[in-house]
Amino acid sequence: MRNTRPYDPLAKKAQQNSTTESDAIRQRPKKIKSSKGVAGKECIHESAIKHVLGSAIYTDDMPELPRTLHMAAGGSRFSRAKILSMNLEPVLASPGVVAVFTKDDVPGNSDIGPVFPGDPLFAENETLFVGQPLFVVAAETYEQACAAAELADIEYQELTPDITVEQGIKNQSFVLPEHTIESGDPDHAIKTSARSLTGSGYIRGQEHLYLEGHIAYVQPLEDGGVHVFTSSQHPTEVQKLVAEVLNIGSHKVIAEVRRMGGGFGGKETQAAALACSAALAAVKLNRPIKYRMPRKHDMERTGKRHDFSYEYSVGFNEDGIFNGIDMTLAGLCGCSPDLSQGIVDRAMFHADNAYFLNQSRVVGLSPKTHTVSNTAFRGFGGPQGMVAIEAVIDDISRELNIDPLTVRKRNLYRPGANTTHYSQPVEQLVLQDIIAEVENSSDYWARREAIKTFNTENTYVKKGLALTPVKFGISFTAQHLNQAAALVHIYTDGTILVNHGGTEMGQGLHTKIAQIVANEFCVDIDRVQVSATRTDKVANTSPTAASSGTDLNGYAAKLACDEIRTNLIAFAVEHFSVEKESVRFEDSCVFVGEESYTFAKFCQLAYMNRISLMAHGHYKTPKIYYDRASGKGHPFFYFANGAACAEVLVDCLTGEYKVQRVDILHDVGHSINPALDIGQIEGAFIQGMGWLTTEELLWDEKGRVLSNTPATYKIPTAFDVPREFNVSLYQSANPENTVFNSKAVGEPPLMLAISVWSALRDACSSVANYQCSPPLDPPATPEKVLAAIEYARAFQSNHS
Amino acid sequence: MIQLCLNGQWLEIENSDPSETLLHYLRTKLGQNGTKEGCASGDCGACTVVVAQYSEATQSWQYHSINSCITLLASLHGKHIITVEGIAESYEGEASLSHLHPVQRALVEHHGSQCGFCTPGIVMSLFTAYENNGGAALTENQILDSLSGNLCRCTGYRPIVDAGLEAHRYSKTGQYSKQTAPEKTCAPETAGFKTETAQCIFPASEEELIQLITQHPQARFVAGGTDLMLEKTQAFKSLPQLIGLTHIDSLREITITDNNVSVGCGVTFSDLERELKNRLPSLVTLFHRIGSRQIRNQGTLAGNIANASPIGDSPPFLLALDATLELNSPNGLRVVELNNFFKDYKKTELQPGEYIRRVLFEIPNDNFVQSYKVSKRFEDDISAALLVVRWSVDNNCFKNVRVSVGGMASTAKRVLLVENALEGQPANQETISTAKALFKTELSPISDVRASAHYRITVIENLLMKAWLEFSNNHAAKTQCVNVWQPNVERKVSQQFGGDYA
Repeated sequence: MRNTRPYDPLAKKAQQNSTTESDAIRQRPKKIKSSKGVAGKECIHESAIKHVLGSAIYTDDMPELPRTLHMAAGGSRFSRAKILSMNLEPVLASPGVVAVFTKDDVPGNSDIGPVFPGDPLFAENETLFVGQPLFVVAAETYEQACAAAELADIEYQELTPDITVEQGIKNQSFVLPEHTIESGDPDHAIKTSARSLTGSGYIRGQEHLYLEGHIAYVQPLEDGGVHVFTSSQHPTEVQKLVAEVLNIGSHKVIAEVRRMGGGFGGKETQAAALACSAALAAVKLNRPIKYRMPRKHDMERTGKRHDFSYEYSVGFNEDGIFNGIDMTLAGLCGCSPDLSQGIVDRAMFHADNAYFLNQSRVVGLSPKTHTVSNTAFRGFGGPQGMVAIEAVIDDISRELNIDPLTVRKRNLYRPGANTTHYSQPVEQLVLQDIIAEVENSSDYWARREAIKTFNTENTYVKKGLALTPVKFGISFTAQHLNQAAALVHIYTDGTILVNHGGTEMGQGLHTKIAQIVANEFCVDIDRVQVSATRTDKVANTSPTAASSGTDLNGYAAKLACDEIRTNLIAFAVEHFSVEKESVRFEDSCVFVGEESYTFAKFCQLAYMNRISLMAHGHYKTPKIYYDRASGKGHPFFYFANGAACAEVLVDCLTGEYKVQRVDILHDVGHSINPALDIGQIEGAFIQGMGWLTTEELLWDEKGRVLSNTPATYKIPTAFDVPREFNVSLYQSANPENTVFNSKAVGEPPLMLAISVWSALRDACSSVANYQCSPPLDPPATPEKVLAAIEYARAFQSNHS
Repeated sequence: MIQLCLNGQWLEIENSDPSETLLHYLRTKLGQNGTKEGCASGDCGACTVVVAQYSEATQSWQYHSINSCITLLASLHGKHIITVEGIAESYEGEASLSHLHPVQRALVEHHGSQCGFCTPGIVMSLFTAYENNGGAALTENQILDSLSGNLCRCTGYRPIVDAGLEAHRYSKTGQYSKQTAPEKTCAPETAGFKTETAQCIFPASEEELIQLITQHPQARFVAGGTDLMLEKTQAFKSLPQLIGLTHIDSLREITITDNNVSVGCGVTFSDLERELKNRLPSLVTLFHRIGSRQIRNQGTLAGNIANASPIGDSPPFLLALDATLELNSPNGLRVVELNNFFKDYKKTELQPGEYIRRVLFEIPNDNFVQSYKVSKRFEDDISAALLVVRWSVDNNCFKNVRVSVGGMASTAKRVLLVENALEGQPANQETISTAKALFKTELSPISDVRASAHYRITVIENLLMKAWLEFSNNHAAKTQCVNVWQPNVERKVSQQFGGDYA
């Protein structure tokens, strides 16, 4: 019986040549245990009990103030059209309508583009996408507002829109200039390689489908300002844009977020439009305004994950190792830049995934189209770059008839070949180890053989298997966003209130921060309350994005705690005339030499002696910079890593499939909360699997999104979860100085789902006895899988 | 006026917008905000609540999960409604684990909520499964069935399924675990709401129904309302004249005499699933792919037919069974064959004021009846294409062949060319190959958001082959695998969280 790994001479060679280095790779960092306290514990989500009782309050659940009005927007019927005239009389005459507002009512700046201009609050003379707001209506009820918004009499002159990446590029229409990251001489390297390949593909975008749709509830304040309750990942930006739209100072605007019903990047910039429109009406009418969108509008009028097209030319040797690659990635940006610069950049940064590209050129294009401006979505372009390079690896494997896993392993960053195309060294080489563990735990090679046998014996059903790695760079690529602040209050009863710049969208950020704070004082977690995120408490916050919530805000909270603790220790030293070393925080008590005080009592004592029990912490991430002009730098503080092995079963008559088993090992550094981290990994994986399988965003030729409700856009259900789903945390500490040596976890595991897509392609390839690499652009719907099977069948009959 | 019991408290609702939904009423009139609106179209399950019904036959309460976002408030006269606010022990201030119902507690301890917005709906779906099972251990299939209409975008479901598997291990707390449902009931009677411009009435007898139709010949009929209500919640149209069909006992009957089945127009898919599970399992298998558990608890077979969707799902199956329909109106009863019922896209034989009273069909004795539904997602998705085949094999020849399709034309229909190519021919793969090539002669499907025309034709051809393979698997004991949906592993609790089962 053969169930061992096939002999790989290269692996052997590498081992012989660099014994010490590969030993270093294999040596696993020891798990660091926090001595006491709750960091590292599987605490339940701070809102879990409220979630299950239905008592957790989302913006739409807040008690409505008297005289509250509801808002809806009238949207453009055409993706690109001149607005010749707009008669809003029928809207005003509709039952319950109180007022209508257009661009002419905006007192301040009406462009709410987050980084670059280009996102007018209301359409100017020419519309930019289907559903673009032309006006808003305020009415007594939600239903009245929604019904009235449809009644405007608008005369358009339709113009020819660009809808696709192709059209944008053909017409040389871009939202941002081309960007290139180059290393070495890729053209020469490809030309002189023993083998080469070219290929291309198209990766579709993704709708966020957060369960709570966009919403803002705005209350006018006495001084001309507003209090904005928003479902936003970026309250500071909401505050700033509302102030600019109203032409008032930021100090008169409070943006507040208690929790979101999911964000996933979709609420990083897109929440602002609702908040600004509602604030406008709130100030004009001096009435509270609630603006939430019907799901269909939410799906038509807010940005999604970018579609990307990719083209590549790759040179490699007979072992499948890259010599050089030239890759172009074009992200469909939609009608404005929004966050597309960072997104296309991140796709380019991750066009290596975990592999040493050697000599490379990665070109990023940002075509402009007359569709809704695409925006952040978990992974922020990274997933698209990774799908492209994983497709290249699969193509090379089929070309050389080597198992794709072997080609993957040979190309991993390794000692002597550990510099990325943007010049940042990969210092922590753990993927060899992680992959080896998954190979082992998933029994990859034995199952590979069993699957080959199964596929030989079965005509109508085929199995596929793939094991793919993830290496994801952690930090905002915009340097200034890598900062955070937190405010910690200790009251005289020993309870602690924390406010920080991050927002809670389900990821458990508030729970982790409560754990960090409780841990700093060695008190029970019940003593710590994290309050709603408010711009009047912590100013100038960064969006809760880029997986950075805990890294940034957690560290800031820790620094605030450090300051209070330092003050308390100094107080004890002076008050009790003891040495610094004899003051300890333990078990909700403060020990001073032999004496112990309850934490509450000690805080009371400190207060009576006029010691400050509150502090503000500010953190900025070290080491990071990027020079766009040269395409070189150190944009990431560190990398998060993981690997997944997926097995699928495919029906060759219909293209339907089922994911049978998935094994995941993922690196979260020293986990602050293993239960929450596993939740992030599993949730991200299933969300990524949805993106690559059943979630198909479709547009018509006029730029209308066709998959505009959950009836036509299908995210995974409980049935779709692999029956065998083994998820483990890789036991290691982050070598960088992060809070508790943990690692960011929000985005990286989404890309573990590439294993599912690659496994589907593997199954299709088996139809041609693994001799071809059938095109299978994601999402791999049953229709696309059947087409790939037909391609493989045709290949087989032409080549036998 | 209607009377309903909400979490154990009887409410008399004097007046309301006749087409108001239960969700709207809960959130805006009662301030009960635990139940969420995710999509307002019955696709996400965040609004799931439970209808409790006392069964005299089993002397126990039966629970049905429904989508409150598309449920007419007017349809709930006499019903017991349980929402997420009603299942825990009452508490003041901050609740603790010990106040929670076992499914709530299991969800907390298995980390089954992240953003928490879908959670109230998930809680109510699991509550339904748990209570209907008497608090005993649930199987994976029971859990997945109960969750088929609940979307969660955060967790990836694993911890939710684990919570379902483990819920039975938590001790019983919570109001409804104690089976303390209120004693008072109210008499079945004609109920609903009426304003100057609109009304929604649910008559309690067929006589009253006919009277109402005579008075309001332009009124629209509503049974489950799972499609009709979208006009209100998605298009914000008013539904001024509605007559409900689900409060009349005689129309809620399923009778099976020998092999003859009669299904009243108030019968839901879930009711039918229970009755036909052993008699016509292939139809029940198809039902599992229609909407979600919540939708099947509301949606009716007759409504599915009257809706006349080109896809339909149940119509192609009923066409293959040669079903007939009993139509009724103030002008009298008539019977039509389903095969003559669909006229064109969304056009049927129904005249104004006429409703489908009963659906009639015979449980076939043939060797093989099977349906094949293809959609992007397995659960709660609309078919890209649907094939139903029925045949007998006699003397090695196909007999009594029916081949019908959904999603392939402007209506669900039988494909006579293909039927004729099989009828009386030798039962072998060659005959199938010849017959399947005829689909494209008779059908020219469209391309839309669900599938391309090319895929539809290819897959419908292949499905006929698949039917043959499955048939020969069953009858010639071949071992080639042709079904990707059968589980090959039993799902286990994979993360060891929770465990404080006190």
